[in-house]
Amino acid sequence: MYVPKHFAPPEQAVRDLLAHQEASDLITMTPRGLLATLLPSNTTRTPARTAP
Amino acid sequence: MARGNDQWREPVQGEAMVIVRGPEAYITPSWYATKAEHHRVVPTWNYMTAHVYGQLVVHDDAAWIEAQIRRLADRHEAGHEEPWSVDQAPADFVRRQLRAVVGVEVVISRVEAKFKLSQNQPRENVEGVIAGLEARGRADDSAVAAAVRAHDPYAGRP
Repeated sequence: MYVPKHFAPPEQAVRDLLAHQEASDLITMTPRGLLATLLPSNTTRTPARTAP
Repeated sequence: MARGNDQWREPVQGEAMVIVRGPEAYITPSWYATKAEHHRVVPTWNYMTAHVYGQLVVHDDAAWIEAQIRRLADRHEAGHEEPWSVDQAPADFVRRQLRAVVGVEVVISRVEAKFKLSQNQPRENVEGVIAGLEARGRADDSAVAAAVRAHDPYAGRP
């Protein structure tokens, strides 16, 4: 994303945005091309981990 | 996600991306104090957005999905006079509904965010944007006004 310095938000503000999101667009690149779905979503903070 | 949606079945190339959007609003240059001075002003769009990247994990697991559904329902029902809860529906009906969806999780690896909130404008224009948004009253205007105020680069300066 193009983010000029003056539009770069503080880290805590970004955490707040993610914590308060209610729905968001999930986008994946697949062999069929780009797919996207609007989904209600939760954000969970957990200790750092890697996906299974 | 609906089980009938092919997106969860398709192998993902690289990371998944989630676009999160906060409040947004059209900004008319008529709110800029500098318009009256020189008219070298243009309209713009104020917004808050984040692009979240990470590995997609599919949870075809009724217990995991039910926990997320309960969390979502509790969160969004909280402001209602008579909050609905999953437990009000018959258990066998809930089990059938849970089979109609799959859970998807993005394990976040990085986040890119942009809050475009008139921070590049002179102080008098920022004040004009806040006042204009508060007066106009369209859908997200008050939330954007609050965000412009919260991220006002001149706040606290004499």
